[in-house]
Amino acid sequence: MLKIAYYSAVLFSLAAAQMASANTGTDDIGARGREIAQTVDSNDAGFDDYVVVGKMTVRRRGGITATRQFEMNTLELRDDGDKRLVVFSQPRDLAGFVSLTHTHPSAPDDQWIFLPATNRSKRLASRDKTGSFAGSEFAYEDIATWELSNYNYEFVRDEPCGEPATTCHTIANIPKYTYSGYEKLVETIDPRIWQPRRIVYFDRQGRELKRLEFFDYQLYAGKHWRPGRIVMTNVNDGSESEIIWENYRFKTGLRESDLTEARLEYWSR
Amino acid sequence: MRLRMVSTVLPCAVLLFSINAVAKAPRGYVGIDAVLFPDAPLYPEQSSATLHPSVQGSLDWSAYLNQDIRFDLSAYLRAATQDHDDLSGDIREAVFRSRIDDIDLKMGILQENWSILEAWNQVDFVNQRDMVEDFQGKVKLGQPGVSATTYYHDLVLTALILPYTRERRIAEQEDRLRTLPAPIVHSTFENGQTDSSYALRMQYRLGDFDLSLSQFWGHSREPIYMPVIESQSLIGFDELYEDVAQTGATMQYVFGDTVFKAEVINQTGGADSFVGSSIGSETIFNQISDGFDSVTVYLEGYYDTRNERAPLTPFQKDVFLGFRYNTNSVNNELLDIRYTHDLEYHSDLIDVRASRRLGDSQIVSLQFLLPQSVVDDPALQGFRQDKYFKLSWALYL
Repeated sequence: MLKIAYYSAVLFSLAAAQMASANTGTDDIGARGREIAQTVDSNDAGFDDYVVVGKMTVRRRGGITATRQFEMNTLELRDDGDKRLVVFSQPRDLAGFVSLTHTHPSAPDDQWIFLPATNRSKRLASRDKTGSFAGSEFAYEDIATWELSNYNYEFVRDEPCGEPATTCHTIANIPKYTYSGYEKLVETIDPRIWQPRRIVYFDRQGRELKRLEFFDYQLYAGKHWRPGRIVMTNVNDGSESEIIWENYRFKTGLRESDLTEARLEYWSR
Repeated sequence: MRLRMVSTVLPCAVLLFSINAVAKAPRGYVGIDAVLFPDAPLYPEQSSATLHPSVQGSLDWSAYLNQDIRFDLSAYLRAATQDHDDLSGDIREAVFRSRIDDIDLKMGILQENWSILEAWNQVDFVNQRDMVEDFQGKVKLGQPGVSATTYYHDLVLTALILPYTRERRIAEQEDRLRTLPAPIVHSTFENGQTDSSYALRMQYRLGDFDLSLSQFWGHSREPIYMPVIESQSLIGFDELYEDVAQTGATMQYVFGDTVFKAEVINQTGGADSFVGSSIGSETIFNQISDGFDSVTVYLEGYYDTRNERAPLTPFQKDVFLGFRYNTNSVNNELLDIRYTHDLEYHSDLIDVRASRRLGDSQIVSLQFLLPQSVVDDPALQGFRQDKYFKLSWALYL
């Protein structure tokens, strides 16, 4: 999900401030949670497309480390879910591997991969998206684009977060998708930028599974906040996957026809 | 032809290096294979060495000549002391790409892929196959041509003109894994090797359904082999590439964790008109243990109506079962078990592969191939002494 894709910050609107400070009773925790999620979503709408380079370091127990590098292209679609295309350049045996995901509201995603060794595109059955993204702590489900309508929301609490600290809103995102690997994602949102500072993932049995933290946010294109670094930690064994995001570019002119299965071989280069 | 293409295209690439092009970093690998054949060869000309070492490498390179034109190069080179060709190589792709509105244009040496099934692909008919590099037909030779592709929502239309037909590369003389008992003496193209082929393809996606229709006119990519007999002994084979028309269709449907697939062809115009069909499924099971591992299961069936006069194919009436275990871990350990059974001749082919990454840029892999009961199978009977173990190491650059 890398919710950086969907959330951006703007100056506080009066309505948002009212929302954030409103008293919430137990009966309307769902309504308030959804209201916060909608605010986050609407603040990042209109990015059209953006491209970013990710440098990932995977650190496993026992001192095993591995590096990955990829370029991520995200296209915002008005009438459907977004499209995201990832092209790997590291490790070198994976260079040219491409994955394309078209997220749909309230329906399974469409997913394709391109295998440079065989020069071949393949459509994947992607109902289950719990597989690891490039051997990291991130699952494909975490990398796919976020759709507001794919979750139910509950307000959890207000709590301090960020530096300098401010009062942040913590909500639970509850996947509607039957085959999600998670029972819920508990997300703490900084209302100064309407972006997450932390997401805690709970497995289907309700156990805390992993934590994603966001660092070094910067403003791009005058509207869109994006982190410079994110870290996913597996709470069971302490394994960690860190991604440094570099060279954000917005409104690059990506078209829907650029992000199609038939063009994956073009992206592979 | 292959080395001729190398000698033509590589200088062009060097020329491109020298002009004001914005090049991407080249990528590729160098690798060493050691293939161990424990049994003596079937044919006297075949190399009797137990160990067949080889060194190989590939290069992929792209450069933008300007904002609208990109040049892509993929080249491959292999040196093997025990093979018929001590040195072999191919330009698998050397193509200028451009985009005008929503039309993608490609010109040069092309790689096209029309397939969806795992083991064998009858509809995939643009590129010639290199059966020496992979006797199961997964390695293709570069095909000179021009293509134009246009997009309209979920509809993709492609047209190709292919002005030259390449010969199939098969194992001969010293090579192991030979399908023919004698070498190729002469190649004939019904309308001449420079007679153009043409192809059209339409792809359409409707939700979980993918459909494609294709039409090909030109020389068959599968030759007919005709024995040449002198003084009552077989001295070789003439290969004939007939002028054919092939209509193809592929269908794909995603249901849950399974993709159901089908490929169908109808080929006319040669010595035999026939229909070929194949169906299959690919199912993924994630998180088999507590980690991120997955198992993919392939089940495929092949059937076609070709007669003895038609080109030989290893997948005429066969079933294929594949099992792939992937740890999806840092080192990407893979185990691939492939089993093919011929329903007509009751032959079996067992192919087991395992690989893992070492560090950030090396892959080590093992393969074991076991042909069983192939004596009566015309496509595989030449393999009956060719079970092998292969150890490979590759450094990716």
